[in-house]
Amino acid sequence: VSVTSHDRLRLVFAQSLDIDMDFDATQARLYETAGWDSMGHMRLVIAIEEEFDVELDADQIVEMITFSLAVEFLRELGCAI
Amino acid sequence: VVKIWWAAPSSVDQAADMELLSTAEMVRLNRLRSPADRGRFSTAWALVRRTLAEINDVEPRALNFTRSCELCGHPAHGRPRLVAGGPAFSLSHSGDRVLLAVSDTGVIGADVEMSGRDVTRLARRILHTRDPRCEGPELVRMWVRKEAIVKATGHGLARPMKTIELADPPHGAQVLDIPADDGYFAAVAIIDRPPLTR
Repeated sequence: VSVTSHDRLRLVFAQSLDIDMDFDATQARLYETAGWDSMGHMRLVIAIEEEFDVELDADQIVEMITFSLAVEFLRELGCAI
Repeated sequence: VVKIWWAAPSSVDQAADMELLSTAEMVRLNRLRSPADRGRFSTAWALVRRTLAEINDVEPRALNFTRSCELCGHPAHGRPRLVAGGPAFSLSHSGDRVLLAVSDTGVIGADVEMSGRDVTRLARRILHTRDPRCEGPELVRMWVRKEAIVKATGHGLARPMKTIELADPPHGAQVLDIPADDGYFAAVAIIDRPPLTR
């Protein structure tokens, strides 16, 4: 079974925010999804950076308020996702 | 003068609280998936409305709030405040606690967190090189103090906590630990003059 980068990002979200893996990624949003408060956001940033071996800049950290924006920023950083 | 109010979402009449919320607040409430998050949100904003209504001698539903950012002009990610002016306030919630802090001067940031949250992996993002090394609950306490500071300055997520030395906080912020129930840490930060830019 191949694990896609998208699946890896879902797992990072689920583990960082302590939510089920079947969460609705299209609806995931900072301060609206369970666990995604400021502390959850910092956990998420660290986990994304470690999992994908990237470094999000300050603007990306502030602007990464949805799952799809996380995907967008990872693409900007050269990840195939 | 800073005044503090507490509420416990599990102990309030959430239906009555929801009747106080504005249409915009109900939209935000309905976006929350978790019942616990919904309870914290309605308890928090009902507490804000009841408290500020009493201070301003108006009906709770008559209050209008803005979230426009004072630092960059963004319409929605700024510190919430009263459109018509009035005391500065800051709201925070965690677990079964909602904290509201109101200051009649300057700006204020408040934070409450459950003391048992695991922040071990966040240490290098929380601690300034000159902050005392700490871990476990003391690291959570450090988070709470710095979260209060970045809420007071209005920078929020835009100001990495590791760039803040607690012994020399930015903009002359005064940081005060607030007595909280067992299992929680709380703090407020007060700034006489808020920063004008990011």
